[in-house]
Amino acid sequence: MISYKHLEFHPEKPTDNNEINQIIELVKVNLSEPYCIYTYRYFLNQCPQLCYIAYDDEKPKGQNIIAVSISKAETHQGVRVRGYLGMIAVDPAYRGKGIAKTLIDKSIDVMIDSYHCDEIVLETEVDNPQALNLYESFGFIRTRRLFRYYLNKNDAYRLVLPLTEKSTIRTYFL
Amino acid sequence: MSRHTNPAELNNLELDSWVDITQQFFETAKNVKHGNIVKLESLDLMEGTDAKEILNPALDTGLIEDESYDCDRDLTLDETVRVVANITSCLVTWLDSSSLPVTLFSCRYIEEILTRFSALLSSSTIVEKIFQVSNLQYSNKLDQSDSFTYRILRAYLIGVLNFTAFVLNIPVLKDEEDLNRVSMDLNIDLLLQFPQKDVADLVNSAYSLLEKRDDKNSKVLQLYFDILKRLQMLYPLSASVNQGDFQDTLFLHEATGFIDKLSEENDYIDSIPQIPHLFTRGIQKRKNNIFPPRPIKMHSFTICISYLHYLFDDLKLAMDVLCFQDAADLRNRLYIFGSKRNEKLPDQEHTSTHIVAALFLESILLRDGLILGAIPVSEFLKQDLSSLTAGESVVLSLLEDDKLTNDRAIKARASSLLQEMEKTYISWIQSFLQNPSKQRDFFLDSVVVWDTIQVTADDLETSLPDDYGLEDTFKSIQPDGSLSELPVMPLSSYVYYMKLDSMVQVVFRGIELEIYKPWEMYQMYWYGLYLLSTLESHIARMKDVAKYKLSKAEGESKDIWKKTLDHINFLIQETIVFKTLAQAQQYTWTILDNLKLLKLPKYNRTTPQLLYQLRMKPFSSVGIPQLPSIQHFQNFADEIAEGSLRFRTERERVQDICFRCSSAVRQLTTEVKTAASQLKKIHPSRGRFKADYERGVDQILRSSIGVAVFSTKVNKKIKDAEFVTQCLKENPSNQAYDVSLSRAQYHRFFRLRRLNI
Ligand SMILES: CC(C)(COP(=O)(O)OP(=O)(O)OC[C@H]1O[C@@H](n2cnc3c(N)ncnc32)[C@H](O)[C@@H]1OP(=O)(O)O)[C@@H](O)C(=O)NCCC(=O)NCCS
Repeated sequence: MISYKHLEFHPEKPTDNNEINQIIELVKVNLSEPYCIYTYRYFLNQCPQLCYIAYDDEKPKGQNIIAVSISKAETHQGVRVRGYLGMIAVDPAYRGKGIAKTLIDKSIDVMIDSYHCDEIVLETEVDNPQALNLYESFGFIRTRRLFRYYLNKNDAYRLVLPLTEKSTIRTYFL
Repeated sequence: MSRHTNPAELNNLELDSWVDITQQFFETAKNVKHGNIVKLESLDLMEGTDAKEILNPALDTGLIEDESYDCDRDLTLDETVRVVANITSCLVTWLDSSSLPVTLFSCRYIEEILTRFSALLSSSTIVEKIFQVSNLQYSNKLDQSDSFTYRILRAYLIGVLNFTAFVLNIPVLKDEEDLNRVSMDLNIDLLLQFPQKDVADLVNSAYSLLEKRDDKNSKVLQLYFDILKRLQMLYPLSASVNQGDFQDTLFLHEATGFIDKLSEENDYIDSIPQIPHLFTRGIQKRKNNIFPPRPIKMHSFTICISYLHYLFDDLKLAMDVLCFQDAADLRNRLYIFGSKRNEKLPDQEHTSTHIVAALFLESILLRDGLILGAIPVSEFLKQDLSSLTAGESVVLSLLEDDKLTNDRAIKARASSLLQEMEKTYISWIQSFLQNPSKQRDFFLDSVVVWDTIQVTADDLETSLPDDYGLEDTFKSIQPDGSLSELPVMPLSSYVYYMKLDSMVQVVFRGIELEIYKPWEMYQMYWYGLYLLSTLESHIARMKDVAKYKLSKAEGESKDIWKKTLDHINFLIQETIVFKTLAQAQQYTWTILDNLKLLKLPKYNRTTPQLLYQLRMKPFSSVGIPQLPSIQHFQNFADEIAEGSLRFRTERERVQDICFRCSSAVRQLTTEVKTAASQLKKIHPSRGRFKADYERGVDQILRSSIGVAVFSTKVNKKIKDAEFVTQCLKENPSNQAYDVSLSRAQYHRFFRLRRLNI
């Protein structure tokens, strides 16, 4: 059984470092870009509700996190609320079972219901067809190609999912 | 203290007045549980995301294993070739968007030179003395010994570093992804302060040593020096303001010859073993470094050869662009420069001209804000205006000619309008000198700017006849056969042309950069076609003006309008070719759409309306041409289908639509062929630019043939009722029908769809 839950985070209670370490490990192994501890902490601290975790309930605690998606939401240039999908990683043994799809689905729900996002944005490598297919199946479209965006010199696409009209209005300031 | 504090600043800090809190800090830190975050409410963790994490191998450069290398060891001739070959590879790899620390600076000799040199400089007061190549402390051994290999090596290293400094100091702004300037506090600019003659002497004397020898190693080394010497020839050119200087590209052709000869030495060079620990990541640990550890980047010998060709070929192109005749000619040349892609190099299909060529060209073309450092942009813009919409209209001399008007207010308005146009014209020139992604961004930004300028230009030009008695009209035959007199409005017309062209570029470059998914292509070609049709009618209006003015002109004025008309004729023909092929493309997407082969997002979380609006966002604020609504697109699609309503079954109806579309495709692709051969004939450039342009037209023809073949294939398939029925099923159970886009050999704006059936 796979179950899903977002990260619980109470500023007054110490976080479960075990979970955080599992999450970090999972991302580290599966993504090419290196992130420092503060990057994770930044996302998790800012929007714990947008850190969605998938557990394999048959595995012992401490080894049961098999997928994670890490996102945030904030006001962009003072005019619209922008959700940002930061990272997603699924343990290779669990891929192709719809787990990433569920994580994104749930994150989008939170972004709409709790944060009232006008749009969701992310960047991904041009040669990561799995990720591109995944996002594009939700209706994300490519708005820009970013030349040699990653440390490994790969180009990226900026992908955007418009949720309200605000996302589509062009002014000098948007 | 910031990590960027340099030793000199350190001395200036009055350390006595500082309090040591180390002990207190450690005491307090004891109370923090491992792994927990201590953070002030008011602080954002964003700042920390750039931190380098200690003991994390992906981030901590301190964990890099640092092997030592003896810079004073003896080098054999083979080894010298190895170093020179590696250094050259590092140089071309750096210029391929890598950083200096993972390329050139990873060489211990280079690190040694730059470190000693910097140290010497800060400890000595006799600055002039240091700025003599002969005083450059390099390694103990070399400074004292006259060893042949070290003399060669030293000259080559200094020569390459000097070139590196030259590139870094070309006064053109570029982003880090185009040219990486990270230097880890090694002051490479110092290398520029040597008198160039000294560097040239050093290189030449090493070269003469090599010339005297007959061994294979020396011959190979000589080739590397031959290439380096050709690079050095760029220095005086880069300072030249004499357009004639750019005609002599012999040295670049020579370089190509040397590179070809060098490429024959592949086996020999590959057979020389690497020198252990000479190229290492150690510098990332030893020097000031704010980046995570990165592997060394050094292209293989064969790829290095391709990159050297890439560099010199594009330098040649840059020099050729600089020999333009006038504004209209520069326009044609810039389009060629901006369209060049490097499909021959691995993974480079989305890179444009070589960065050094782009920098070199921009720095000379727009030197000190003047065209070629000599012609004011305003003058040049007038030439461009003349070649497109203005011929020799009065408005061009509005500012200078007091006989026309000496009204201050109108002059001020015209002058501020022209200034805005100049600024946008400059960034229009610059857009061709960017990487392909940025080219599209530049065009995208300019759409709004041209749109705003057009409003001002409209205002100004409509007020000229009534308020200032400056009338400028032409007569043209209207669709109903009547003859009417209309205002010329050359400025506004020019701005409108530029805006429409930018809009077209944004759409079609989006296709090139694979911004659109197959399910969006139908819509994008439809919109692209709408823009091209608008552009075509506008150019037709420009043509009417030019024809009318030519018919009335006399003497010199006749020549000017004749030139304008020729230029417009070329532009209109080009637009017709693009439009016809875009239309053919659009019909093929109509077929795929009707067969329901363009898969929409499966788990869509948004609406088609929002997706359309987001896609068209760059154009949403444009006054004219107004953005059509998604309903317009729907109506268009319905209209195509309408002719097939009389059929009994859905399958028959779709079959009929597809048959009609594919016969339209056949018709259109025949038209492309005729129009393209006409286009080749009237392209105004000569020499290489004509040849380069014709190659582009050939790609269009290939795309056109591809479209025709595709439609014939699909046509056959559509006759199969079972196939069509299968396609039309609500959820086609098999994924066998898959539409993807292929680029190979085709024009970048007209990729072909591949239907895997
Ligand atoms: C990308 C990734 C998260 C997908 O996880 P997953 O759980 O296997 O994906 P799902 O099973 O939920 O698939 C959802 C959709 O993604 C796409 N997808 C997933 N795997 C794919 C593959 N191997 N090839 C093509 N598309 C794929 C498909 O569109 C799929 O929908 P479908 O099955 O209905 O066709 C996973 O491959 C991964 O962790 N990769 C490494 C990390 C990474 O690249 N992250 C993204 C960059 S931030």
